[in-house]
Amino acid sequence: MDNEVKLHGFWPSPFVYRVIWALKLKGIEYDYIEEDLANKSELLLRYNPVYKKVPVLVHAGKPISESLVILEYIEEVWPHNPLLPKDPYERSVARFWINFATDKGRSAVRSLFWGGEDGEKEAAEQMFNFLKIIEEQALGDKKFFGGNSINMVDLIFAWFACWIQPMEQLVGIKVLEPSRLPRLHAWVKNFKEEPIIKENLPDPERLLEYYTRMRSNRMSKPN
Amino acid sequence: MGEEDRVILHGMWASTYVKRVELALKIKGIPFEYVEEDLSNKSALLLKYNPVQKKVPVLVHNGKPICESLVILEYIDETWPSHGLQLLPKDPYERARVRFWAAYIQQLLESMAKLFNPDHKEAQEKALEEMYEKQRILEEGMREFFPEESPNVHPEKLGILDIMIVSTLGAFRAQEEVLGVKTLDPEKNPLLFSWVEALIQLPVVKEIIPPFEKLVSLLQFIKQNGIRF
Repeated sequence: MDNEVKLHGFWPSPFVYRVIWALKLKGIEYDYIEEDLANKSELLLRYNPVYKKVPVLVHAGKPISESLVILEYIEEVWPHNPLLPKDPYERSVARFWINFATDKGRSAVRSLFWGGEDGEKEAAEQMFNFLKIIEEQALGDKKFFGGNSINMVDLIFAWFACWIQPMEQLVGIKVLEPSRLPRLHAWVKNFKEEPIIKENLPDPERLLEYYTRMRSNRMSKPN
Repeated sequence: MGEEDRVILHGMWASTYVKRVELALKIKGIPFEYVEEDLSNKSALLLKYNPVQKKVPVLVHNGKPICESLVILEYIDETWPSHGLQLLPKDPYERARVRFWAAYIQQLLESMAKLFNPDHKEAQEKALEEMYEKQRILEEGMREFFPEESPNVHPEKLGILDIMIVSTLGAFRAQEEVLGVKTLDPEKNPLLFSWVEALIQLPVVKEIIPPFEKLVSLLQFIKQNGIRF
């Protein structure tokens, strides 16, 4: 009872999935609580008063918010099956890419999703440029960002393995083209085939439906 | 780690992000060389060390570059663990709390940066409100950390939050001079205000704070020309 692990999540969230994967990769038992973000639970608001978001990890009654903070916590409390390199320099490189994905990746995604009529092509190019840097400098010739096995950097970039596809469909522009980004494309395939990942992926149809609704809702609202 | 350790910091005299790293190195007593970069004319070395972002700070340790201020701080703490004090607490839950709030203070900085974009008046007012709201949340959050009235600021006990607070809010007087509004109100944020005041008195902080007039000139220039920094 004392060491119970609970995860408050929301099924379409890639941030929640990062935590799910980390817990499962380390074989950590946990209870999952699905939150309705349109109707947040008292518990969620108490655990994360600053952002009122998911994921929130609760360990032995103590809440931790923000997916990157949660991942570092998990790594420190359960160091087996490590998700970060041991060497401080290699760790700093991994953290650099995690930071880069969080910073630049997020704005590229936002532009792609919400970009207007003219904005779409430019947003797609911005996204492509971002992905090109990732492919050339973060991934290189490795199978995974973590080398021969996946690590935290792979979990962060997983957005591009599953969440970009419904977005590309919605916006009508394919960014992750195999001809333009061959190594990244291969990584997507390899990532989704990894045992734990394979069993824990969002349903693409359901995601597409969710994104479609989200986009039309926002666009129909008056400015 | 010994005599062969060579540590070089590429920085810019007014950069909040660079100050964080400078402070961390000084707090831990790590000797380093400093290279001032002209951001309008970046050195070939900087572009080689940080090809992706082309930004400062970059810490070069025995020829290997580390980029991104918070990543650098974690690196410094891990690489020189017995050197002076730890920047992060030992307990994983406490570390998580510190990392959470360090990231939040970073968001506060980004709100403050918006105040220097010479947009129209409404955008300025909106940015101000956003900053005050974030400060209010930070004030509340920090009260949890410090059960007594104000944080006990000792040079031997400085950590990442002290570094983030003083680098982000330490130059408030210069900012207020340029903006003509309070960016750190002692009445709204007594804890943050007293914390910052205590920090900027410390000798180690005084060593790195940029000269007032020089900073005011730069901030005025940025505000007039809308340079993003």
